[in-house]
Amino acid sequence: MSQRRQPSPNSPPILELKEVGFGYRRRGRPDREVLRGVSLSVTPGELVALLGPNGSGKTTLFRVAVGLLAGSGSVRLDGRPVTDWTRREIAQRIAILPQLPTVPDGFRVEELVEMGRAPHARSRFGASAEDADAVERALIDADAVDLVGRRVDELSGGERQRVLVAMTLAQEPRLLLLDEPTQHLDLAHQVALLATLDRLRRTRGLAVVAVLHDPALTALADPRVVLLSAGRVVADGPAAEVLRPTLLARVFDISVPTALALSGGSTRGT
Amino acid sequence: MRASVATRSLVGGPSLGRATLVIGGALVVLLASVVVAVGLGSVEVGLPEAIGIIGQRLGLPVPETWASTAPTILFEVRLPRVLAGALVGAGLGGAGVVFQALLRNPMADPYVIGTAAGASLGAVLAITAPVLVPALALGAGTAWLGIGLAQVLAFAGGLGAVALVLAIARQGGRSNMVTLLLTGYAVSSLVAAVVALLLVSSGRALASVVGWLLGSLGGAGYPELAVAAPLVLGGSALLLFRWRTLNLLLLGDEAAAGLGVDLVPVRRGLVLLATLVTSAAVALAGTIGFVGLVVPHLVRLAIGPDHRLLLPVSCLGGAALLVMADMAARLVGGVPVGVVTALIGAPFFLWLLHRAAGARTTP
Repeated sequence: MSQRRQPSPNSPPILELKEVGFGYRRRGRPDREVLRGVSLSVTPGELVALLGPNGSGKTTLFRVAVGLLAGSGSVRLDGRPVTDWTRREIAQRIAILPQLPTVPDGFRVEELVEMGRAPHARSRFGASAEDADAVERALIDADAVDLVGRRVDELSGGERQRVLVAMTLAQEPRLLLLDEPTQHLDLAHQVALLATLDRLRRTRGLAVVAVLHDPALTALADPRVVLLSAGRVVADGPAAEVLRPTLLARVFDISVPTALALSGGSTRGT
Repeated sequence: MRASVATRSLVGGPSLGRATLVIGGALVVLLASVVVAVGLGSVEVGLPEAIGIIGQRLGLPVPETWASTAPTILFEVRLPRVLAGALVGAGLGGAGVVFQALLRNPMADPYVIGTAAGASLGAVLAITAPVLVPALALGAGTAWLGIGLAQVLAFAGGLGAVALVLAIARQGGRSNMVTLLLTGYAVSSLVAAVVALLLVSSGRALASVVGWLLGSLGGAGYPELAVAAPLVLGGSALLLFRWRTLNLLLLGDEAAAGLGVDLVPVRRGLVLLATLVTSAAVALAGTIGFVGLVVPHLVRLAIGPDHRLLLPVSCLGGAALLVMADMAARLVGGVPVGVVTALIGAPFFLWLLHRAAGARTTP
């Protein structure tokens, strides 16, 4: 589906994690190590699929990456420590789609998508022509134009997800962190979303890290795949190398034939 | 391309025409309620006379058909009371909107979460302390100094109460609605008891105690209004400039932070401003319940949750509601205005609780 275009090797990484560790604390004491020695860098134009079992640290990794959680090791955004940027400056560069977003009652689709423009806002009470352009593009890219005018709390799960994706696209970041962006989406919209992300990385040099759960769907987009297990990166490379049934079977604790079936029946790499 | 053209015109919030219509409409309602409230009362100055007197003050050639005491009644008794009602209502309506967004909780308002009770404790301390501790009477002797002390202590009290409620309600993680309401109730009750104790032991009449606990606009004169007005109006204006942040907070902490909101300082600033507005209102009129709860809800149902309109219209709506509630309170023989707002607001509150419970059991 994608024409393979590796990002130029000399373009500097937008996000660079080195030996990042993080443990949640309970009553002031370290409770559980969620991330251990994670090193990962993402360059513009890259599409990275993040796979791993529940509780392997995917969501925590996102929070650490945008500076919402501070762990050990170094997190650099555009070459500078993430802690050196203000929240607004981070939001101008990274958009994050939370896994369990709250959708407030009463807003209309276009109002919610427009909230994505907040980090770029310059006008006191209105929106600039630039904002209007960005909202329009985002609605088209997320296939949510037909939902305009409807109240967000009256949408179905999949429709709502498309609107939320549109909101993060309207933010026009250079890096998108999407936590399970395909949840609630039907098959057609899952495929369409991955195609859109692939197009945006090629045409606009957008970097995307998306948490995905379906190896077959992941293979379709042919991204770079990072496999996370118990807070460690256990594999990082092209989809064809990482999505091997034997590796998936080990990481997800399933049988090899099951892994084979789930990864689309492909026999590559076995 | 038709769909996208339609989309473009929808971006940028309410159109100027709609904003003018909505805010203008709310202003008309407020002005009408002020005029009616000024014209109605137990003393013989009716609506036509009131309009005539105001017309004459404005330099219009109006024949004098009223008693010589009428202008005094109008300008020294009724008008300051009506203006106080408008000011306090505006403050409570606006602060209610902000607390509801801050806590992402539709039940929050300055009365329910204890801010108003804390502020009333501060204000009552300022009034009674000179009596209880005679040395303080020296400092509180001059009128403006006395008022200043009441505002400052009300602000401190309101801030203390809201901090206490939030700290207790947030123990063990995120605050949920029931914990917040119960904590607010407990803190409010405790503080109200202390207020009553202070007032009684200072030798004040029981009526003034009840007035403080249930809210009363009778004590407000122009000097008090002059202190409260800049605090309420200025605070509300500063809050309005934060409409974008208030909208983003409705998305939840993580999404708001992802969109550039620096949560800790932003929250602190909003709590400070909303408490400032609340305490200025409370120092003027005591604790008046439910205005900050009912008004934002009704306004939200009518015009939607966008704070660009929700906040100013809730201020105007709160002002109109309290002016009318106080008029009703005066006409039935001078009950505290808080009795009237409770009669309107408490059933509304129960209906909201019922609806919230229903929403939880049938997702």
